[in-house]
Amino acid sequence: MHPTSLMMTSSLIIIFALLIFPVLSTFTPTTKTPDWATTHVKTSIKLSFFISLLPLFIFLNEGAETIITSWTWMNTTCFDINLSLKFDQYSIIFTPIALYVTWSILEFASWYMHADPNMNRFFKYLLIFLISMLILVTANNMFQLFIGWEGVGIMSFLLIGWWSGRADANTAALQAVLYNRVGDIGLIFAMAWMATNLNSWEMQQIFIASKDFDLTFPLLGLILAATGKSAQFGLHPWLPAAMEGPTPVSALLHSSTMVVAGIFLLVRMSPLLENNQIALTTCLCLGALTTLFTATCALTQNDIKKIAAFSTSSQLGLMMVTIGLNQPHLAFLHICTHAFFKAMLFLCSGAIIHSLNDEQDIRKMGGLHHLTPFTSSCLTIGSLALTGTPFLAGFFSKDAIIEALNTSHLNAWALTLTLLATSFTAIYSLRVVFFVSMGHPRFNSLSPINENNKSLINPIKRLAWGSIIAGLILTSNMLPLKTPIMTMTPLLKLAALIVTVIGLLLALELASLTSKQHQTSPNLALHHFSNMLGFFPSIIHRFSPKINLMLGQLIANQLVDQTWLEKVGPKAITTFNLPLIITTSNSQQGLIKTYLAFFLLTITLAIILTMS
Amino acid sequence: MFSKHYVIGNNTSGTFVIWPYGRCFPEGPPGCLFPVKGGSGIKGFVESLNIVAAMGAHLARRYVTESDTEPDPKRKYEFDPQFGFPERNEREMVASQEQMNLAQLPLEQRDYCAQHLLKLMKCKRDNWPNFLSCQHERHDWDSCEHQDYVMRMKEYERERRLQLRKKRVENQAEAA
Repeated sequence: MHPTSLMMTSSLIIIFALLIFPVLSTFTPTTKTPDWATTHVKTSIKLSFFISLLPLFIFLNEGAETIITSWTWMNTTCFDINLSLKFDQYSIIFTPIALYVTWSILEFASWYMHADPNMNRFFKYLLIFLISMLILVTANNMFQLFIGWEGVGIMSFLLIGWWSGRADANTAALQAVLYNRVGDIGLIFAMAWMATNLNSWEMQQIFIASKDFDLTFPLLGLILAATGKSAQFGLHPWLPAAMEGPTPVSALLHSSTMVVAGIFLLVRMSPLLENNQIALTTCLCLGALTTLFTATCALTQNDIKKIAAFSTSSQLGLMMVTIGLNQPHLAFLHICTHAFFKAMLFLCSGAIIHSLNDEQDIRKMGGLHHLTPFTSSCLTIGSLALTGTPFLAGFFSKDAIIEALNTSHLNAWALTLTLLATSFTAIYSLRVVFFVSMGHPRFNSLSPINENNKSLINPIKRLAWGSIIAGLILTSNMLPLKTPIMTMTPLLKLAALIVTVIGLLLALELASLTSKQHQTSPNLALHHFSNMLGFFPSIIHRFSPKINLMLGQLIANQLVDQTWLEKVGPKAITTFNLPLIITTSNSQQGLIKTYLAFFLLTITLAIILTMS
Repeated sequence: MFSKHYVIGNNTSGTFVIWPYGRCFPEGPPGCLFPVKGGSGIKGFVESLNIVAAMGAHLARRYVTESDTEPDPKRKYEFDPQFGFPERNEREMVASQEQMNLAQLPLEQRDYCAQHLLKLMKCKRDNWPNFLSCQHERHDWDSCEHQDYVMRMKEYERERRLQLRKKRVENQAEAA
């Protein structure tokens, strides 16, 4: 075996072994020490991160990629399912990023969850999630990808419902599972189509054998799967509801890693997508709609975690738009940069929430720039990166996407929506910073504010460095796989920046209105649409259960039970016969006088006739 | 921001020249249909702002005013590339098929600037971990792609003007 591929294979196997070992050790009957989470789990992830840098450096130095098929799992005469791992550009770059972000989040979680009696189990769940995510990312066949896909879904359910005594948390966990299940239908359909038509689930064979097929249906299935997992419009309400889980869960699953799995699937399947115009247009329009709708919903939210959740959904919509532009590597770049600053935003939110005695409403925060300077500074850095401030991490990916959108020969509606959503991103980001960091405190003075903790500062610091330099490092090391168009007029080039600045100025103006007693006239309720999340949960969460229950009542109860089995069957006999019986018996009642009269008449007639 | 990478570019003498709104580069292709005059310095910048303010004229032209003569960039052009030129050579690729196969270039990147990309890829591989190097090769590739874009714009504008000319000739023939 060539030394390069040997080193890469060994690194990957060692990473998996390091991650699986703590999980296996929990199956032994020995009780774990209270600091097992920090000593074993966090250490294994830290080590895995440093080991994962080796294949990354080999790839950057030599461009080496490997596909490792190690175990024949289920093989029939013409259909093989093997354990095969693909270490190409996407998985080689994403794995260290996922491990770095997870390392930071686990260190933060050791501070955030220190009062939780089941912290060890919490860390175990996070570790199982990470293993599933890496299985998904490194999968070279659809079956393995499906294993990872379902694994992350299940762990999401368990982690959202961590505080299972809370009804809202249980509802949110169920919501996540149900919406993801709808998406899974698409994935399973695509897998079934591939198995029957292409006779394989291995990605290389799928790409080669699908050249002469019309791939619209399986691609729409994959898009449905991405819609469910990546919270696109229509299957998006689970993501803000998932904020019921602890903040480390929101930071890891619902911002950086799990929710990008849908986009990652489409990036992996991009050779199939690139020749199908219907699928590309679907991605473009769905992504544009998602990014604007969720950015609109984020404008009027008051829960700091919900704002970040909608922001995540909006960025996922932007990634979907990029897929629709046939630029999967740009979508992947945005996945990587987004992981850093979004995780950092969540960690800062968690630090602030804990410092203010579990207060999550931004209207009850304020002045934290003086009280928690480090946290609020990193919140500002993360928000600036999110808005695409030049030369931070988000700029390299977001600006590239918007430039590609501006210079492509595609519909202007998607472009308009995306630019509007970019503006809204600036608005809600500034709103968060304004209400949280600026101004005067709007909370009680007896809050346990203390950010002077190594476990809190170090992870946020690491992610802050990532948010600043990750974009530069990634774009400098990765050559684009599609030639970017660098020629455009200054207005197009600066379009993203202009709309962001307009949004910031607008937000500053609107936010400053809150400190003045200013009655707006006319008194319009324009914010209702945004505040009620577009009325989407109100309509859908009531409508379809009501329809189902009504249909259930109508068909099962009224139609079958009451009508066919009662009214038409046995009771019909009664119904028809009873009036006849009643009429007959009624007609023969109360006639005794008539009978006597007839009797007398008959006797009289008989006597008269015999007498004559 | 106003470097030579953009459509409102500058030629070697440092003057601002505006394209494609009725003017050509001084060193433009032979057979250029309009004479050359460009603004310089501040005047050119102000003129370019006026053009920026009037952006969208191409959309009005495409869909409203000249929808019958605007060429469709996705379809093959009607006019022969040699029409109007005494001699015009076909472009030749510098990078060979074999070189591009060895570098495993994706199909979309196998264009007339592939030789610069191959040099860039080699430079990146040789200079790693110094990821800030290879700026010169990167610029060469970007510049080549920019010139390629400008050439495509010019071909489009040539086709558009020839269509307008054809319509003018037909109208004159009908009037006569």
